[in-house]
Amino acid sequence: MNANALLPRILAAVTVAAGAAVLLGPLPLSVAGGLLLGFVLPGMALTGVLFRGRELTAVERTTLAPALSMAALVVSGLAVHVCGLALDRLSWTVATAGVTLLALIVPAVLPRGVPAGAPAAEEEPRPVGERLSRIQLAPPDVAVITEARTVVMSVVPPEDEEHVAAEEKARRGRLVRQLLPLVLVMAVLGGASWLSFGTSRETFETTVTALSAAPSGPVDSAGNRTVAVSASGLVRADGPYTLAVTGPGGASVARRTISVTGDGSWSETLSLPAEQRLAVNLFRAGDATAYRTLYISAAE
Amino acid sequence: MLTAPDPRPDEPARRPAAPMTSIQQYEAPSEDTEPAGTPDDAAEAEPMAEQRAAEPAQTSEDAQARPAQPRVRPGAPAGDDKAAADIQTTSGVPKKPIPGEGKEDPQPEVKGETAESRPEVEGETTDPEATAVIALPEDENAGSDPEKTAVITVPSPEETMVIELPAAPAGNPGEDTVVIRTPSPDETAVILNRPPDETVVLPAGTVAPPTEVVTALIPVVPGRKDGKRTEAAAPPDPGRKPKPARPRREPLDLGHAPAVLTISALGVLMVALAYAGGRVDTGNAPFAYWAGQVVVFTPVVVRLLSRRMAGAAESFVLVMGLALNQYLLKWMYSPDQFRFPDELQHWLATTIIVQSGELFQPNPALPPAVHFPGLAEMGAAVTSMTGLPVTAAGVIVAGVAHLVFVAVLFSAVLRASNSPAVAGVCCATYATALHYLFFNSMFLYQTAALPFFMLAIWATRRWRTEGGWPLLTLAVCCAALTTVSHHVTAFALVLTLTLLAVAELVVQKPRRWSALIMPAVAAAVVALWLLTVARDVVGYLEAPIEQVGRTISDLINGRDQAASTTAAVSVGQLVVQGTGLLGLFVLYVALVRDMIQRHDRDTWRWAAVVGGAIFFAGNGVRFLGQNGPEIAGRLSTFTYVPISILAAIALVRGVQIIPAKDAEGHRWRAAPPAIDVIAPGGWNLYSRVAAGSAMITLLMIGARAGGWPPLGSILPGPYLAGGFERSVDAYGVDAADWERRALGPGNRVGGDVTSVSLASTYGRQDPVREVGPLYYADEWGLDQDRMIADLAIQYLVVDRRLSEQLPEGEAYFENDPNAGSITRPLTAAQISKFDSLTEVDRLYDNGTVRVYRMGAQ
Repeated sequence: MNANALLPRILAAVTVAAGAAVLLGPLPLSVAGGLLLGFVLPGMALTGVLFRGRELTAVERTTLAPALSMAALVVSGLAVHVCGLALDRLSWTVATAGVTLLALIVPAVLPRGVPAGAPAAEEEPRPVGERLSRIQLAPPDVAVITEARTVVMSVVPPEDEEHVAAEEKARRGRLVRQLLPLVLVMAVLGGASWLSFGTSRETFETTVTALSAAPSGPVDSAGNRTVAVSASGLVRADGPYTLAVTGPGGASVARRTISVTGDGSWSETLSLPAEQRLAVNLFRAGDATAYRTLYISAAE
Repeated sequence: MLTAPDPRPDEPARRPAAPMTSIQQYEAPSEDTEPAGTPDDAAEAEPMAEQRAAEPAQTSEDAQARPAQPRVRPGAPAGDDKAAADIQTTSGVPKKPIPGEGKEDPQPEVKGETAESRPEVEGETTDPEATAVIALPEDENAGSDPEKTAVITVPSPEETMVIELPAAPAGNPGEDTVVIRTPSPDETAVILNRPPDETVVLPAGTVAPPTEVVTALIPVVPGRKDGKRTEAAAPPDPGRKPKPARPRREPLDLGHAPAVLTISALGVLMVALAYAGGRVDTGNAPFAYWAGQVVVFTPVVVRLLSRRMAGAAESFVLVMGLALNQYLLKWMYSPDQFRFPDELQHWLATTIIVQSGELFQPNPALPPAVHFPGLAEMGAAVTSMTGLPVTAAGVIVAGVAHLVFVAVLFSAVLRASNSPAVAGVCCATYATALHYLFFNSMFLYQTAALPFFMLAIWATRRWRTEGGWPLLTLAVCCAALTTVSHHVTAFALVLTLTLLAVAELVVQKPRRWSALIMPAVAAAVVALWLLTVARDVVGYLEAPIEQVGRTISDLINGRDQAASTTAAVSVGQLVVQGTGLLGLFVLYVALVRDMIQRHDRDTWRWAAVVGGAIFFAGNGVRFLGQNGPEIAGRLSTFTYVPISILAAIALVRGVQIIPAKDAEGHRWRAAPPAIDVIAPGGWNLYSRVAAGSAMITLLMIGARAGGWPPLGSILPGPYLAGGFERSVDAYGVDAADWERRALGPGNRVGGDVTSVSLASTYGRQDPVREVGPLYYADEWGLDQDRMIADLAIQYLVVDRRLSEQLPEGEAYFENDPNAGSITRPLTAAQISKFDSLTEVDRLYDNGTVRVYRMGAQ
């Protein structure tokens, strides 16, 4: 079995494995499988279908795999939506794996005589605007040119195995020497990324102490309304906190002492007079001025 | 000696696949044109180090063997000489065609490589029976020089020339080359001269040891391996002294790319350190930032401009490595979360799909994005399949899309120019676009559309040159995917395809009207989507276009213009950007002059010339009102592609900015110089590489300074009012999270730029953006009450830091009435007036950000 016949089978096997990893595997496997199904496998398979028998450079092949995979994602999503199905892990996996397998099967089903997509005109690609050179030659000229274009070439005798092996070894060594700096590149980039991610997260992670209240509830028959008051980001070192609810003249309506426990959050639903505009103050231990303040207007 | 017929008659002839453009001719002698992955020939066996070491020596020998040519060029041809002027020669001397019958001078012109070795011609070629005898010099040098070239101009293809060549020198049979050139420069046949036994023997030393040869007679058939094509291809340059073929590299030879990328990666590390320093306000961080940017960028550019790249593989790896490094620079600014408002909007769009499992769900943060779900689909797919958070999936999707865009750009230019150097330099130049690391690589829907945009152009080009339904299908699909992904990019695609089609129709003869198929199909697809699905996008785009129109009208009528929200640009920044643009313009003009002089017929280059003109015109839009800079920047995303291609051609080809005088003293009316008149080495090359690298580096610095983030917040760090990414911190995010948890989605929430952005995304609220007058009012009155009622505002978010800092972006609010004229921060009274309103609740307070519930419900 040659490499051309083997590649689709390998792709199909990898596709099935990636699908299984996404649906059944742990996070690392599902990440690998998901990225393969998202950016690699559909594009590789589609490249084989669309460009069967057509010349592609290695750069173009490298480019087309993720490009067509992205296209497959967009089209798959639209198709799933049109079919009225939910876009979830199962549908995305089935869609991408299905596109890949379908693209692998189609070339095997199609006749292999004329490659699909062969150009109609038997002309080689050339830049637009370039004119084709045509020399009208008389038969004698053709004969002369044909003869003139006959060369005697020396056929290189087969080299001895030792020489070939040495060359192969040198080639491998050269490849390793070229790839080694790329390992260093990856290490440097990884280090830079880790540094940046770490410092960004570190500077962002600030403890935010917030006092909040939900909009007031309905007024009951006693003229009170319920207000759910919450505090978050309480710091143990600043505790215990004191919550004081005061009326318009500074009269105390309610008072709570809040001990910091667990994740530093506290919540309680208070029953407060509906006809007054109230101030809800949060004090840190030892503070005379309010650390956080809310205003609850009188209920209408 | 074993003589045998060709055992493989279908073996392709070793010649260029197609007549080459001038650029291709320039690049063709190098193995650079070899596609990556192409197996090398017998020269593979030579160690690469030896190959490289041998090349300069060879060049030096060439220089010694060839007498110095005076650096003058012939005068401009006139009359009958014009036809010959199109013939490009290394020496710069245009060949004269042999006159036909009735002409006075029947002598065919035969040129040797040097004056000393000029062959003699006897007889006339106007008479079919006559014989032209070319006597190659037989001096000592000539006998040992295997590269003598004689050029004969044939008066008519129907006429016959019999050429008698001297016996090949002993030891070097068949080394002399005779070139027969027909009147058209495109019609050239190269015939290796033969010893009297009519057999050309390749020097054994180039193939195998002379003592162990087994020889096979292989007729070389012109044309493809199937033999159906009979056109004789032109040699790269018949007047040029053939250079010994340089040994080819390995198929996966990356050349110096790994080493160069190592240096570039160190630049990334420097920028990462600068970012870390910026987060804690280190003084030297800006210096490390700019040094890092140059270290990331410039080594790659220098290597791309140098002439001895290993081939497409090295160029491609360099370009992709640079793109990756620069994307990392963008990502490292805010690696843990999206902070830019537009990225947050698309984060929400993706999150909605992940949570609801449906497309086209309302997105209050950016309503038009609902109908362009390409990016969100990709993000949702990756999130769903991998289990990663939406932010991580978004970073991956944006990164892959950005890299694919660069890769397709490289592929398209490589396909068009057949030059890895041009493709690489083009991508490096494009990396200096204002929005390259902004709208083009952030998690925005344009980022998702750009790969399809470029892929559509690539497929269209291949379809035009090769035909075949798969390429047309791919082009149409890519046009549709572009349309589904982003509106402006879809419009740009239609215009680009139209430009290419018109250029083809104008330049190419006979006209092929099928060129109009792709622009027509793309226009139909875009129109269909806008009329059936994305009907709201017209209104969305109408406002900025109207604003530009108003500004133009104001300029024409001399009316005062509205204040601009654009930050004031420093003189230094203007100088850097202006110098870079001037350099581009000079290259542009020089290349256009060169193309005109050469009678360039390449459709795509002329289309690029038009695109380049639009680029320079588009730079003027940035001065047109508040939206001018943004529109100019967005326009440059597309117009910077052609100008990058042209700049790359000019830099790689070494197009003369000030042409040398010709023999008649003409400078500007002179015939075009030989395309490779500048020797690829020595001071000339080094100065060209240095100047080109300096110009592109200057463009990069100008783009980073004038692009995004703005100079004032070019490093991450503590909160800045009106600073977009720099305004997003834990206080704002906590408030937005509380809005979502406590208030539920869909409330009408107003605030400053950042508060509204966070409320509409993390908070899932319905944003109200034009609330500036409420904050600027010193006292609350009826006007404010009316505004609250008119806008149905339910909540206002107030950040106390607005009263402590001037806005970084010249405005606190979107549609800020005081934009550009803010001289002092908001006052404490303006900020705290909401507390005194008896019908207003302050429901949230984290010491910095407060949320008020307005009385009008």
